[in-house]
Amino acid sequence: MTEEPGPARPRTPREELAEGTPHGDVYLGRLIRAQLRLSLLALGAFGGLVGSLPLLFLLWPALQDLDLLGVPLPVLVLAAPLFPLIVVIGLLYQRRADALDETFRDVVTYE
Amino acid sequence: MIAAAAVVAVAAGAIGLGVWGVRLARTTSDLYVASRAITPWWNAAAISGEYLSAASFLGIAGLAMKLGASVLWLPLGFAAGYLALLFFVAAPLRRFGAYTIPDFAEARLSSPRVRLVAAVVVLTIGGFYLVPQLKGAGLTIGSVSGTPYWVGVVAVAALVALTVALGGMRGVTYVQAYQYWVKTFGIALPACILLIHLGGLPERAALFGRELPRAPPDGLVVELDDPQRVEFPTNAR
Repeated sequence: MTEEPGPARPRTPREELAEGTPHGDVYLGRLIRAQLRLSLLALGAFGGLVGSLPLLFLLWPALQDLDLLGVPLPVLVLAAPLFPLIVVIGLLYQRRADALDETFRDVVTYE
Repeated sequence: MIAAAAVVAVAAGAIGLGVWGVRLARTTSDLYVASRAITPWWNAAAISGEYLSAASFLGIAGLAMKLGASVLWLPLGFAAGYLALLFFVAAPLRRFGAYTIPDFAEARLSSPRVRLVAAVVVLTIGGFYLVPQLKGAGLTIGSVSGTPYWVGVVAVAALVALTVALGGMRGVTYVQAYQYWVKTFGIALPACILLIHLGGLPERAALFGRELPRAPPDGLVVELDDPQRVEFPTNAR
């Protein structure tokens, strides 16, 4: 606390973060909230897509009796396309989360 | 006899890899994350080895036999759990630089009590997870070697504890990756043989999800030497 108080040089965001000032906490809080929003969105997208399947089969029972390549459609849907869906959503999430981190890094290293 | 020898060989391979992994497990970073030196493919094999556990492999097969094709929702749930793990555990922990959930909970919320709660939750879930695994171990080892149930439980628990204690995350990763390939082979080979033996995929798949195959009261024995017919009753329910 030997520094000269007063309007000297404005501190950079990086210094604000390192010193844990309220200003720095705002930067960090915004990143954490953005990441949480992204996680919830990705989970909601997956849950909505997969969760709507039983509803679909309930509302249109004719789908249950449909055969595709000799396999009943409900079994085929469960076995084949849902696992790649997990991978795709995971990849999209990863890309978006990295982009958010990158943006944050750009903001705090600016100047 | 061959089955017991195979179990011993696989277990010996696991111990060997666990001991081999000991070389680098010296720091905290080694123990928990293998110093972040595990490549994605090794890690993927290790996690998939975890996925193909006694509960998911033997348990799902048994439940599908008992309840029908709707049990296929269960493995999907296991796999979807990895997505939740990525969103809410792996990514935040890595960004934060924490190794374990209790570490993260304490540092993020600055409360030792939260750490304790997190540790209790992790251990409780781990405990419940171990129950079907060790049950499967006891039943499997018992049925291949004729030992009492508890011998398999104790042997497998000791084996797992040994590999983790010796090699840390590095040892665990290599052991799990190795077991993944062993288990994939062990699942795929009998499945292919059975499919070929029972008339090929389209014929059986058409019945799958409609009717349940039933074994006679004294058990179903499939001889692999000559073709067999398995009867699928028309009114299974």
